[in-house]
Amino acid sequence: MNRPAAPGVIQAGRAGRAGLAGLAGAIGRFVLTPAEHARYDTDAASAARWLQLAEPEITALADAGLPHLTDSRHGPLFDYTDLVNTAMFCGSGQSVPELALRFLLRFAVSPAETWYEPRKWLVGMRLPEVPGPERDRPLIRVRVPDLSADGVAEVPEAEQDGFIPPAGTEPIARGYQLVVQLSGAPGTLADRRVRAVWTEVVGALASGEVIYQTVPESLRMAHQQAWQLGMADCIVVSRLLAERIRKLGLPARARRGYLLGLVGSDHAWCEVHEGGRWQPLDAVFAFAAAGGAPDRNLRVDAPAFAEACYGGRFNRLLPCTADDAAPLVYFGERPAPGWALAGISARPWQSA
Amino acid sequence: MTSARHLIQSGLDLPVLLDRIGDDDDLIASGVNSGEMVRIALNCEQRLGRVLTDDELAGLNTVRAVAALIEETATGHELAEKAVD
Repeated sequence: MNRPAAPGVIQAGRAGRAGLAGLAGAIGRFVLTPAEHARYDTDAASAARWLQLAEPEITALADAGLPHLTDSRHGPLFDYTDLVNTAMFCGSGQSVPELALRFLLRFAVSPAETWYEPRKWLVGMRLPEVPGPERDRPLIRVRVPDLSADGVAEVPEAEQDGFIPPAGTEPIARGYQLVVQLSGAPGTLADRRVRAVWTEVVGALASGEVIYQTVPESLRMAHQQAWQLGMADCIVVSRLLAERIRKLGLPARARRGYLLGLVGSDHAWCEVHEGGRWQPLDAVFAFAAAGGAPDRNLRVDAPAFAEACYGGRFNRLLPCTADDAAPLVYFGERPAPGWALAGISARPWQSA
Repeated sequence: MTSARHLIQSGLDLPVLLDRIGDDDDLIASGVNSGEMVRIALNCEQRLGRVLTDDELAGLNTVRAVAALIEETATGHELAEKAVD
């Protein structure tokens, strides 16, 4: 029996039926990857699989003006970041990137105590499968969780079930599964200069002066250039905040790890050392919770959560040992493409 | 459990993958990727006609968990319909 959907439930048999008009309409609504940072290596078939969009509609984006190279065998080859942004900005509300973000942010509308209470998580990293002949496959390395971070604790009883945390702090060339307990804590920062920097950065995102979108990894590491181009994601924002706060003479750092929920997602935030401890600043969460981008179905109406992002630590952010928000997965010496993070999993854990 | 398997299968790129996944196997550890998990969650919301809570989303990790979510509600819905009748 078919029942009418409740508000907020997306009606589509399968995600991603934006249509060519919708997809092409996204071009111009985000900042295209500059050519010097683009990797035109994603064919329409791969993009259709990863983003759940129709292959002919992706192919047609070439004629609609999305930058590409033409390959005689594979057809147009696009930059993966441009394709993700096309999906995010097409307004369907049905693409995988849109849905994943909405699901991951659902905790923001849960009662405040659920942001902080200790939670045990089973976190898994499965190395991505790289297509092509085995001899051409790169060495894949992944960064490991920072078990020494505030609010992160090992769960010794989980080791009996075979969940052994990876040792050390350097990237490793294998997948892993571990159980961690994450404890959040409410907090805020007293230094008014930090608040001024925060207000300016969140304000730039809210006004659309800088567009919140996916940014290619090489440009994330050139965060000032990205910001000046008018594009930012959580990694650009966290690095920018840390840099600006350090210029005030205060200890600050960008952190990167995983946002845990339905799946695990690459996420970054800033931390400021005040009152004897590192306190997080999550400007992207605050932006989304305080209005966000309604045209992209990213709006979460949670003003209390937005304020909690200024100094509060949440029980589903697992930092990795990645200095200055460095990439989490590498193919050889290069950062892996975004799709390589599909193997991160997370779920609440209970002892057997 | 059959209903849950149909729902999960419709979210997979390669539906035969589910044949190798037991009722209590972790979906992602068994090869389901994050994009497919997103579609499974979307399928659950459409089946239930409501948004899932944060805890329900986090608990969608096995065939049995999906079954518990959708079958519990189906039972409640059937009872409600009988009460109306």
